[in-house]
Amino acid sequence: VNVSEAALVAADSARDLDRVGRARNGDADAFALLVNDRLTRLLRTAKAIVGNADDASEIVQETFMSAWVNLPSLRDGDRFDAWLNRILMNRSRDALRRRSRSKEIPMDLTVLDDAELSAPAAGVSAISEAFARLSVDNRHILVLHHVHDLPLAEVAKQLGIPVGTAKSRLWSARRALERALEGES
Amino acid sequence: MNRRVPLDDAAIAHALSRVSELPLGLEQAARDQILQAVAVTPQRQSWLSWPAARQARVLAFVAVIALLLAGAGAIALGTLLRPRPAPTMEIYHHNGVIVTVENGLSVADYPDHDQAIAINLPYFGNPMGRASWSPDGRHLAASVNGEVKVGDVGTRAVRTLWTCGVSCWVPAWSPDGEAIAIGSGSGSEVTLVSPSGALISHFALPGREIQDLAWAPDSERLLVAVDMPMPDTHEGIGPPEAHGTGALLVVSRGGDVIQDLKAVHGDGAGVWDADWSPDGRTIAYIAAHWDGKIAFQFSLETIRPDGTGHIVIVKDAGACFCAGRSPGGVAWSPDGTRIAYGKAGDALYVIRPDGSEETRVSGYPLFPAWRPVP
Repeated sequence: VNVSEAALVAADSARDLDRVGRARNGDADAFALLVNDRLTRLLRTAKAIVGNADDASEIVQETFMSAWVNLPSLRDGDRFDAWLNRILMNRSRDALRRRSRSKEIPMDLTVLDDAELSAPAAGVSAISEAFARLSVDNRHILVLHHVHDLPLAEVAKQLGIPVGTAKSRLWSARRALERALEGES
Repeated sequence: MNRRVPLDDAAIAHALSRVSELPLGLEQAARDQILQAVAVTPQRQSWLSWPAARQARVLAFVAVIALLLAGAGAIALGTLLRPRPAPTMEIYHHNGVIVTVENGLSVADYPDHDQAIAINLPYFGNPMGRASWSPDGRHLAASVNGEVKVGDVGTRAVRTLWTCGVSCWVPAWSPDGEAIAIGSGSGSEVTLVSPSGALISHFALPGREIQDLAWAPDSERLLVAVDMPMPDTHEGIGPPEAHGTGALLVVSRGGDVIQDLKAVHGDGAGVWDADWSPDGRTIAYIAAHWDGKIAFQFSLETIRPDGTGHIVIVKDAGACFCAGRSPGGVAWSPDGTRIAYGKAGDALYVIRPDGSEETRVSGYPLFPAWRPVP
């Protein structure tokens, strides 16, 4: 990270902190800006974790509404993203558990065709199915790193954990994915 | 035989990008709905967000008010201690009340559904299934948001009893009051915790998916309702033929399976909810029969703990396409004379074990927990 990149990151953090502060005081416009910056990432994360676009949309809407309603109780604005991700994960777990309890039938399973893809090693559908057997936390950290292409420091910030912990969790998630893949083959 | 599968960053990124793809229009629709909801939803105000000076003023004000209220409270105490009016329905005269946990927010008594809020649970997350009363009827355990919370009905204080690694559900308080069993982990694990939050034991039933837990009156054996494990299609959604292998297991505190009751008469149904009668003579459960197409048909059934005496009490206990939650829930009254059950898509009902005197209690069928009279 060079000096100009570091300055940009600092400016983004300051801007977000200001928006969180204003949103905490009831400024819906500031909250809308926070939503805009995060919506796609959260939707894609939820979609990857629960495997269903409609559920993902519902989860993300609930997540932002929980954040909005409870924002005045957030002590540290710096931890907004970690807090938001925590809510998202909890909502995702609830949805998965509810679905398993209710025997819901998924309506829009993505059909993955290995033939049309050229993943370098293991097949796309094999990885996807192995991924679906991981814990929610493992899925989350893999999506943050591999889908959203976040560096470890940003993954750590999103999860509200130290960088070293993020590194070890990412490694564990990778190992879990490998094991799940081995189990499938 | 397993083989080592080569895996690199590009392969992972490629595959996960596919599973995280969004349909066209989803993002815009979600944004619109969020912003519309935000515009009409007030925030929950917290004193933490106030300036320190304002907090101090408010604390001082609250202290004065508290002193005044203490005096008024002494006067009001006599009124509060007066017995509540007798319930209008016969079934409540000697059995206590039924509660369900709703919306992650509150616990409501029946039949005074809107009036008798007992305790408040944390906002985040929905409760997972039914709650469980302590044998003295003074505390309620419920799973919320990956944790088991215990609420004191007298003080209305809520504390976290246990935090599960992945998820917690169906906490069950033992009749001796010494343990709370919790469904935990990825679906097949049971954790026993003391009321003070100390771990007692932990065991797994590999290959099973735990649907409900209930204690025998001796507090030594657990009844575990299990259904098909998570199939390979992930997240519990399997082909229709994957269902119908439910079981009612009696296990020891250490997780040793003593008996599979359901296998005795084996009708091929899943078991989603179960409860052991207070006298230990009968087990009531909700059986889920797959219709072979798209829906589940439920029935309320009983069986003796030795596997004999299987009775279908209510053949049509509702059906569901199950796009939402399980309709679930069965609970014995503390005196063992009634069973409360949720009829899918209909209401909460109370019935005698012989099938007589079925009474509709409420239009909300989810997860009854019958409170012992404190």
